[in-house]
This record gives sequence, structure tokens and C-alpha cells, in this order.
Amino acid sequence: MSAHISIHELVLPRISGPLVPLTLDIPPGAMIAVVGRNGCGKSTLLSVLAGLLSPVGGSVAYDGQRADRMSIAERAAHLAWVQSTPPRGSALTVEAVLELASHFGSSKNAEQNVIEQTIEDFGLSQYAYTPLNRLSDGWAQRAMIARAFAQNTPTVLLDEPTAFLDLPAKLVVFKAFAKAQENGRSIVLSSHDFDALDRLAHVQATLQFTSSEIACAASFNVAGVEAGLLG
Amino acid sequence: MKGRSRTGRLWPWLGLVAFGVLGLWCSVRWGTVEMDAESFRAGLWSKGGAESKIVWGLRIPRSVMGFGAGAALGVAGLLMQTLFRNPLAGPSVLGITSGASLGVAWATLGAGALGAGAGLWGAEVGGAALGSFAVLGILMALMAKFNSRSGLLVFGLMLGYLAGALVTVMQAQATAGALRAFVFWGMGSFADAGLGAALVTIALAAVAIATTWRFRRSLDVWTLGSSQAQSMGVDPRKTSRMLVIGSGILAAWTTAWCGPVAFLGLATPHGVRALMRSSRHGDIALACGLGGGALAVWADWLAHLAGLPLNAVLSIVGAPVVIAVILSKISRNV
Repeated sequence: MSAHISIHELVLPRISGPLVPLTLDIPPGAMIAVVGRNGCGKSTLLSVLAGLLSPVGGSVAYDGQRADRMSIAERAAHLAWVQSTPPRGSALTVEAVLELASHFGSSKNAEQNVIEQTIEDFGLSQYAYTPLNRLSDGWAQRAMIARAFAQNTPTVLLDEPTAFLDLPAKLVVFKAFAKAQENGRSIVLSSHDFDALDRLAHVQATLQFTSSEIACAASFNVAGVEAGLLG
Repeated sequence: MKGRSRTGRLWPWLGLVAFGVLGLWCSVRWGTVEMDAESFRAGLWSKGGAESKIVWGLRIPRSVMGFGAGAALGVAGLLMQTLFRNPLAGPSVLGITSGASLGVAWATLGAGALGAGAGLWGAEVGGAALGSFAVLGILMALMAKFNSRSGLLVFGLMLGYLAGALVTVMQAQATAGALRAFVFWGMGSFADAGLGAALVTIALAAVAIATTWRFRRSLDVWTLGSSQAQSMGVDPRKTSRMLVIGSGILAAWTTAWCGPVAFLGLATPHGVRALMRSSRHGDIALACGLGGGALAVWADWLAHLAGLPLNAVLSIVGAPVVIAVILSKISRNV
């Protein structure tokens, strides 16, 4: 369960100002942090990575398969994503959400096992049978992050995953991320929570949005970063 | 990990079935014409005779239609509440009932205004079917172009105003007899359909229940929001289209035969969720059908015995349910 993500000459839509094409190869087991100010395009980049939004130019591919050309089912087998705000109003219990995620995900054989492991990894056991609409925002967000991991996809994209989380919750979630990385899963997350990222996360590369480009600092070999950096 | 048992709760099912069977029995056994056990038995088992005409010609078709319409509306209400992720949605929010009412107004009042014989048998059914399926057609065309649930809501709401306005125009020019026919249609009734239409209604409800059960997991996921659903591999466009078509057909068909039956579609899913202690579609789809059918039969029987309009009884029972839902939401601070 691992994927090679290749971003090639990517130009994002909806971004004001010129943007230099981004080229990046993400090896399995990497964590990429997308950082930058409000409105700079972090969520847009994640939407493009998820194939929900077509880029103006270039492409994103998972193991050679282009994200924006996958069917919804194919995409759900390659990647899971989590929005910045947890859903309100669903009466599904946390356990039901995880069961559904593992049912629709790529781990059909080991459903019960995956559910139990995910509940443990994300410290959700005390709320396993609580409906989402009875949870606080922080716990609902934690449940939705767990949902993405229960789907057992090689790649997980998270938009501001720590927005509603307190410090103990961040500790739990980043520990679960690290475990997933060890299993070869890649994580791309956006955040302006530099402090938590710096201290808690095993970040291999940072994509920093500046006024006209995405600057990349990485501990692995990044093709074409110079172009991205220097414009 | 200790789980809450999801199966093994048999009594709610037994209760639902008993409630439905008892309602059906009562509404076939006791009506406005009194029958002793002897003549009831004769009416049930022998062909010909006044008793047989009452039991087979009136009571059984009305009871079966009530059950079928209630089942269809219960499921349609569930599908609407799922589509809009809103506990107060019901089968009428799409504007299908408004379309039907316009169709009936045109068939009864319009014809009356033109001097033709209003209140012909079948005029209401034909007009309602025309109106409701026309709206369903427009909805499907809209869905193909736009995929917006708020757009659908606005469409349903505006269509209601538009239909209401056109209906008042026709009412202003209609004869007293035609007005009476139109008003009676609006009260809702299971009495006019006949056994054939009643059985088709039950079949439609059964297909809807089976389809809901087949897609139960996708519909569960849908409650998390379109984006989450898509992330888990559930197609939002397909799902919303399926929900609109499914509940639209159920609502259009029942409204054509029974008029705008109030509150059943809205209230049934709430009662069933509370009874089954679950919101998962796999647990409640069939129960919504059984519960809606049973409620409809009981309401129809009581209304019939008391000489009240069906919708009056349904609203008197249904409105407190809606108030209770809102109050429990407020107290939960959601």
C-alpha cells in the first residue's frame, strides 16, 4: 500500500498573480506540509491534488494515473481527503463512519480489524458509539481524520487537520500519522499551525506559498524545485 | 471492543407489524356501516351481496391504498430528509404536490369555468398525475443541467407560490360544485383509488424500500456531506439524482391517487428512527414503509369513523411531532 505521487508542471486555478509551475515527486511514506497565509491557495492545491479541481496546466498523478481523469471510485481507492470543517448533523456513530470508510476503502477483508485499530490509533474509544452530531467540533474532526485513514488508501490529503484540535489531540493525531507513514502511506496536509508541525510531525517537505510562487524545502530529492523557488 | 448490538432487537419489528395488521383489521372490520360478525364473514367470503360490496368494494381497497400510500410517503420522506440532510424535509418540498394541485385545479375548476362537466370521475386523478409528473420531469431536466440542492428547494418553494396563484385565479371563476370538488381533493383520501392502484402503490413502495436497502451504505455516507461522500467513492450527482427520482415517483403517484396527504412523509422517519434507535438506512428503510403504512391506515380509519378529513387527523397528529423534533434539536443546541 504505497503510492508514488508525481506533480508535473502544475499551475493552479483561482490563484491571483503569476504562479510558476510546480514539479514535485513525492515518494511513499512522505509527509508534505503545505503552508502559507489565509487565502494563498492551500485548499486549492489540495483540491487539485485530490482531482476535484482541474489545474490550469500540468498534472497530478498517483502511480502514473492522473487524478483528474480517475472515476470517483478509482479516486477513492487511491486517496482519501478530509475537509477543514467536520460535518454537522449526521447521526452516524463514529464506529459506523469507520465501518463505512473501511467498506468503501481498499481494505474489505479486514474490516473489523481496521475499525478497531483506527479507533485505537486515534484515541476514539470513549466516543466510538456516539453520533457525530453529539460530538464537539474537535472530536468530530478527529473522527473524520480517522475516517480517512480507515479508508486505507495509499495517500491521505488533509485540509487544516489541526484547526479544531487541542494539544493532546494533536499529539494523538500526529502519532497516528507517523504510524501511517511507517506503513508507506503518504500524507499531504495544509496548516498554518507551524509550531505543532515543527514539533510533532515528521514533515519531509514544506510547500510554502509566497506571493508569486510555491517555494519548496524538502529533505528528499525534489525535481524541478529550483524552478519553483526561483521563478 | 464492546459493541452495541445492532441486530437482535426484534420487538420494534413485531410492534410495527402488529400495529399495521391491527390497523388493517380494524379498518376492514368496522366502518360507517355496522356489521355483525356473521354478515362480516359473509361479506368477506362470499361474492355478491351488499356486505361483499362494502368489504371488497370499499373497505379493502381503501385500507390497502392507505397502507401503500403511507408506506410510499414514509420512504419518500426518508429519501427527502437524506437528500437535503434536513430533518424537516418531506415529500412535498420538491413542489410535486403543488404541481398536482395545479393539475387538479385545472381539471376540476378550469373545466367548470368553461362550463364543461366538472367533477367527472377520474378528473382529479388525471389532473394530479399530469401536474405531479410534469413537475417531476422539470426537476429531472433541472438536475441534468444543475446539481444544486438549494436550487431544488427554491424551485419547489417558488413552484408552490406559482401554483397557488394560478389556483386562486381559477377558483375565482369556478362554480360552487367545482370548488367543492377541489377542496375535497385537498383533504386527502384513500377511498377513490381502487384495489389495482392500491396494489401498484404497494409494489412501488416495495421497490423503493429494496433500492434504499441496496444503496444503504452510500446513503449513510451521504449524510456526512457531498465532499466526504465523494472522498469515500460515492458519486454525489448519481446519489442526489437517485434520491430525487425515487422520492419524486413515490410522491407523484400517491398524490395523484390520494391527494396531498399531509405530514406522513415528514413525521414517519422520525418516529421510526426513535423506535429503531438508528439512523442507518439499512435499519430504517423497511421500517419507514411499515410504519408509514400503519400510521396511514390508523389515521384513515379514525378519520373515517369520526367523519373528519384525512389531512385534518394527520395534521393534528403530525404537527406535534414536528414541534417535538424542533424542540429536541434546540435543547441539544444543534
